[in-house]
Amino acid sequence: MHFFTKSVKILLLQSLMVSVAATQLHAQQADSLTRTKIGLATKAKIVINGTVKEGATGKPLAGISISVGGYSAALTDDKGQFKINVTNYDAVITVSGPGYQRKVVALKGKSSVNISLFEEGYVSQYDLTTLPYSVVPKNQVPFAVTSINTQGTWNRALETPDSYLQGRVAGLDVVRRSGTPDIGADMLLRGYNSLYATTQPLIVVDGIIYDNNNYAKSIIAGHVTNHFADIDLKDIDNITVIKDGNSTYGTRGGNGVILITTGRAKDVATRLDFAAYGGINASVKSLPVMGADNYRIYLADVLKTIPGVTDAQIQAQPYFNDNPNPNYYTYHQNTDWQKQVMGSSASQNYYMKVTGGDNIATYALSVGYLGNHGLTNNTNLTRYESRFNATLNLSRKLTSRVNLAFAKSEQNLRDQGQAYNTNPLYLSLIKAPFMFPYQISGTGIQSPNIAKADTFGVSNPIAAANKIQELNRNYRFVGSVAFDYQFNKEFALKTIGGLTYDKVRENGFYPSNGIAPITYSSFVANDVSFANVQRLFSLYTDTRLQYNHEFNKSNQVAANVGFRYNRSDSESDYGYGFNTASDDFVSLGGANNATRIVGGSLGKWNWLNTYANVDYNAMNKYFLSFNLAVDGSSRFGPEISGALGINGAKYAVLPSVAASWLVSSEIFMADNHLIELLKLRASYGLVGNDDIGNYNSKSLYTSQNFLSRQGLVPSGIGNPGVQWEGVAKLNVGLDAGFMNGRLNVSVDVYNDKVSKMLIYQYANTGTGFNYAITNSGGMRNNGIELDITGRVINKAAFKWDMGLNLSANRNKVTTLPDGNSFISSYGGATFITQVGQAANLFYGYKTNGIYISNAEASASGLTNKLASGYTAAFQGGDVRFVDTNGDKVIDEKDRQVIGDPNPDLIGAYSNRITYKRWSLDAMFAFSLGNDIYNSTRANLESLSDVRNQTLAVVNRWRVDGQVTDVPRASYGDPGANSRFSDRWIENGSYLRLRTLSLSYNVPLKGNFLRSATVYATGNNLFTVTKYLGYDPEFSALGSAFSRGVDIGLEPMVTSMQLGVRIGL
Amino acid sequence: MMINLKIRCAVLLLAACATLSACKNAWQNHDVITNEALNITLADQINKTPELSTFNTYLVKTGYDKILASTKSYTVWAPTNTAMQAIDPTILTDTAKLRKFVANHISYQQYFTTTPNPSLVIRTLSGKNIIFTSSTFEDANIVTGNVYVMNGVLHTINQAAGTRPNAYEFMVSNFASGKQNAFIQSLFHSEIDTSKGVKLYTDPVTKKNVYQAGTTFPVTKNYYFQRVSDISSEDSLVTYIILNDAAFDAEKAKIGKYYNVSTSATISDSLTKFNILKDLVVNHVYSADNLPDSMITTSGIKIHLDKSAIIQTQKLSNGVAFVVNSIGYKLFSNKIPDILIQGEFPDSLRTPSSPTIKIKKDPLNVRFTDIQSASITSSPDPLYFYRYKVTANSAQYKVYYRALNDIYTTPFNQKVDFGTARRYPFAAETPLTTLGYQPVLVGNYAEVYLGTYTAANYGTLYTFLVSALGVTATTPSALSLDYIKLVPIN
Repeated sequence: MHFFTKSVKILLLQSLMVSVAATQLHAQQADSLTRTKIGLATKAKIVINGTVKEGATGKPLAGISISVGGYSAALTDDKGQFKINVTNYDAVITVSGPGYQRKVVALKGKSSVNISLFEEGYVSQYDLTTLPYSVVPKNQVPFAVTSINTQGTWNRALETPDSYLQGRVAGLDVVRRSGTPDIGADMLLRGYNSLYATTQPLIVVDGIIYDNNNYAKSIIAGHVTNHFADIDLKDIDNITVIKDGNSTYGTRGGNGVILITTGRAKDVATRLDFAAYGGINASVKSLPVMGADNYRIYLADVLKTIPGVTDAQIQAQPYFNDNPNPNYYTYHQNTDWQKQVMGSSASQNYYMKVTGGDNIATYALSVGYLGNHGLTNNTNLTRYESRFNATLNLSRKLTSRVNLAFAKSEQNLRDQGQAYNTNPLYLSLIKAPFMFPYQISGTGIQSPNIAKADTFGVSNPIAAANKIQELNRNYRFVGSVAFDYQFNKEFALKTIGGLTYDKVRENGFYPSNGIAPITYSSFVANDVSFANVQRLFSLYTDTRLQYNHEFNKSNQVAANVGFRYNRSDSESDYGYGFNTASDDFVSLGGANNATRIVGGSLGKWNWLNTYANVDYNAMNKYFLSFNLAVDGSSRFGPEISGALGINGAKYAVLPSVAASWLVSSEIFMADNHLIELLKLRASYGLVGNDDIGNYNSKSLYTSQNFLSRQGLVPSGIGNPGVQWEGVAKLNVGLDAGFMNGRLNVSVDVYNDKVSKMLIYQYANTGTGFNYAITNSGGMRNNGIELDITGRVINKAAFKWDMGLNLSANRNKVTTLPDGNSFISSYGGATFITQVGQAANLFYGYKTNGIYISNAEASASGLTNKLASGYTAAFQGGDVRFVDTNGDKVIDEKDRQVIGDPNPDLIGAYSNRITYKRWSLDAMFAFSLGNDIYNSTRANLESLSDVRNQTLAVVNRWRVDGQVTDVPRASYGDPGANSRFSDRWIENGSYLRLRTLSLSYNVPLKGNFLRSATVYATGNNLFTVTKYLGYDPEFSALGSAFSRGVDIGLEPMVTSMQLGVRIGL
Repeated sequence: MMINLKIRCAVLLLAACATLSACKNAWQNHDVITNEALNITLADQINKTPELSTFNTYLVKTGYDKILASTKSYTVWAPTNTAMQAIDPTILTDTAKLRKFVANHISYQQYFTTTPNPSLVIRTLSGKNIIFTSSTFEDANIVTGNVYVMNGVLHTINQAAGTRPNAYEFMVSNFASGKQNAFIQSLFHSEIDTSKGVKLYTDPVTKKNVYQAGTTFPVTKNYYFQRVSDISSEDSLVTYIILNDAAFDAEKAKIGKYYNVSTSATISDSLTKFNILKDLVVNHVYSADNLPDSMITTSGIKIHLDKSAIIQTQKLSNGVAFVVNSIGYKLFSNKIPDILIQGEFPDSLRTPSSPTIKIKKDPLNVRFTDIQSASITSSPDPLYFYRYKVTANSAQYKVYYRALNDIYTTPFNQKVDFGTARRYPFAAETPLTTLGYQPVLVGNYAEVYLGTYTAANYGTLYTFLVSALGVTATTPSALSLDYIKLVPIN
């Protein structure tokens, strides 16, 4: 609260300054409009007649408001007819009415117009689009934008804003991170625009930059704290995605900008909406791993391949002893471990929103509660949210807006992904099925105590799911106050100041009971307790002077000049403690002092963005927008060559220009009844990415422990020339509407050139460092986007809207230092990035079946050179790796590109069918042509140890002449048959029924209720894919070098909710 | 319109179902069992093979069909119906024998004909070892090999393989009344097995460990198996020689005098027998046709077996047994071994100060270690000595030693005495048998012959290296020894 009052003081001070500066009080804009109308009325010569009809029935619409911007207004009569004056035939008529879409109609020289309107919420080219400085109809926007007016999204109870965006914006590749509730999604706008800096679009909520980054890794394996989930989707009115190079956000707009507007009171009437949802989350279909029968046979086979092990030793193992013995029941079970650690669960959501006010102040207050459970047993989420938005008309010239939002979420989690000792899902796959989850006596009596880690050193999955404690708590407060002071009709001063306070606190404990001990270099950890705190404090201001000038009715200019300032402080502290006295002591304090590990990081950075903008509108047909940003940042190095320098600091100068031509408003298009709207757009802009590390321009020292003594060592090579990554975005597009808006098409073609891309460049050995951070890379993305929406069936009672968006992006690296390629690895996958190809291609061995006999293997004449440096001969049952370079040795040089994790085509197909009071929404999302490295299957078909495997290994090679594609079982995999090869690369294409939602608007009698709607929603109802994993959709890191690597995160589940919304 | 909607919903549902089943197909294509055989067990496979019907009958009879249907890995060498006709009918009527017979054709784990390189010794479920090559199973040929199914592999063979006895079983069943067997039977005794024992404490008086009651248990052991070779074990392969009674008696007459114990004729007799039998096991399988000139027994004695001496040869599950009517070996320095006493390992000593043990090189650059006590300036009573404890046969030995005088510039004297008691006698007591004082010459690296000594009894012999009598401070003496060697001559 301290921070809040502080910021309020600052903001008040600013507003005070604004007030003092205003020497004269003028009438508000609404009044000035009236005066204008009177002033110009005498000039009006042209009278336009028109009819407004309902699009579906052709029924005339009465009471529809007709206006000509800033000039005149009228209402339709009972026959839907109206008369309105305009100054010239370039004028546009804005048509709007309650319950109907807003439409902007160009006269094209005609004096009578027939207008048909669809109902409110129909997606059209006239939707209001939020731009950084204004809200304009989409047909007047020169940029490539997608604007989503969410209509409340009352049928999407469990969705977070990022996951909601999936399939809604052509060009925005939204990949949900995993099936964990609220974990959100990684969003890629037109591909990766950076390799090592952030790839996520900038999010601006109600004018304040919403910091969605995490400044430290979660200590809960596979988890990501998703701050975006702190905004309740139902609070959002509009989401606008700016895809091309509007450079106003300068070095933070390199990955595109998402502008979010949260709900405000639309009028002064008090409205209360209450919604309650309850639902179930289904479990997922188990992966087909072996049961106890096949597993025991496999186990016997694989143990036999340990050199020096005799049959007698194998048969002496307790699990092969089928005679009555005290351990018989311990080792003679058949447990479906996957069913033991995951299952179906429930969700609930309550939400209430009150809006209202009077002519001085309006408010919107919302509170929400979400309770949801994860797929893994004992994982859950509780989220509380509240938001208060108010608009205050402080004086006739001064208005103010206040936004306050507070969210708290508390989430019980379990390890996912590469935590092979503690990840319950992974453990449930590899755990020997003949084991039992609980201790069991010699006579088969089951104990409530869970079984300890087994004879193979594998933890008990039940312990990982039930006994591990991992809790993530996240608090976020975002508050802002904005003041707008309208000096006169032309000049206004607008300022907004806000602060973000965010805290993530994580605690965890791995017990010794049931979890295998971890061996560190100097001790064995039987149990581990850990904690982590992340804090972010960010202050943001944006102040600008706005100028609107109308040269005449056909030439208008709007200009802005201002600056944004952002100061952020982040802190992260973590601690790990080991070997507490017992599993009941779970905190760090109880851990052994000698082995405790603590660490953390601090970050502090400032960003100053000075901007100027001119928008020019000629004859409502030609639109031109010029933007310029001059960015300074504490992150930039002091010695950037070729950059603007002021007082020794370097600045990024980033201009952009965008133009559009509304062809359909030309008079020659007046008789074309097919094409209602046609707009051509082109834009070119320079933007940047400032996520280059807070301190990379400086040579720093870091503390290091050597032989129990602390010392300082250089942490890296400071690069005084380190600078923002530059992105030059060229976009050419077309928006078209056909048949009175029944069909809308948008096409965009773009070419984004990334230069000065941050690269970890190999450093000279003499420096003592492996690499240095330099701006020495470059790549480009180009692609095409298509967005089609339309109304297929348009009847009074039955309407069917269909939408399809497609986007294809192609990435190509253009510049790299040092040999023009580098190799990176993640989660067992190897990637190559080389000039001329996409940045992150899977790089491994190609295979061609297996050798069916020893003779065939030796006839191949190939030698198998292993990573250890040893060579081995191939034998029957080994994988036949392709000798790419023909040197008869299978080694690293034979690796080649074996897959591309980037999709060829992504998109969504959506339907909305309304029948009377029913409406059905169905959205299919799909991704085509992307490859996945299935590391789960690589583990489950490695045939190299005692881990349980998939049923496919029953087909393993056993004897000469056996034709199969599964290699032999061999302990330790001496021939490296399971190395990273195309055996594990799978087609990750999928088609998913992402959402299916049915709602019914209950007819009401009486005045007690304003509205009542019942919803039934299903998410992820089915997925068509050839992918052999739980789920083809996942994103482990959001980096190019983790894309397509399935490290075994919680899969998405099918969930269904029933909900009711009541309006009072 | 409503109908339209219904149709559309139905289409949607159908599409959903179709795609859901499509999801399954991805895995089904992947983990489908490509070979039908991998769905059935060995029991099923044998059951459905007509030419193995007889063997299958016995599998069912003995219950091994259930084992072959279980989820472990097995290899079965199944004799064909024709082969089964040739087996001894007594096996089929005796349940225990039948079980053993059937089990002898089954092993754990999978063995394909490609596995032996060139041959493999495999333990079957009967507990016996069999020999498997790429084309044979014991004496049988493999008719059809490598039929793999879910839980193992099946080979069809053209000849059944009855269980072979091991060396001990062979001796017991065929030479039960033989003297060799009789003696080995006499070596059975009972011991307390403490390997699973929970130790409570060590008794301060007896110095023995005391275990929690019930955690130790008596087991029957045989000294021969413990000390010579466990010829009943299937774990190692041996050549076992069985002496017929005549040969046994001949041997006894030949070496009996070297195991004389004056106190007890019974002990002498047992000792003799044991020493005859300890040199009859060779850790290698030789064929009678291809015997080497000499074989080294597990006791380290070199023996010679003449082919003409072999009366009977028997293949065993753990090797081969030869029944012989004579056995050849060199008696002295082999059966009756040389005794080499290394100076640096005294059993006890009496010296004025600590002796010095040094590693030295002789003029031929061969390294040796000797023990020396210099500056002996007096001759106490009893004299200074190094004592060595050895076991000697009741035989006459030639005695040699090597003692280097690199201490003084003039020779000094020392002597070698033999006794059966640990204590070196005082001057007033009966002196020990002595080989007399000998001067140790300066810089002499050569072995020195000291004389002969005849040990009256088999058993412990204390050998003393004793310092000179009557030394003074002006003419000090010393003790120096590399080794003493006793070579039997009679």
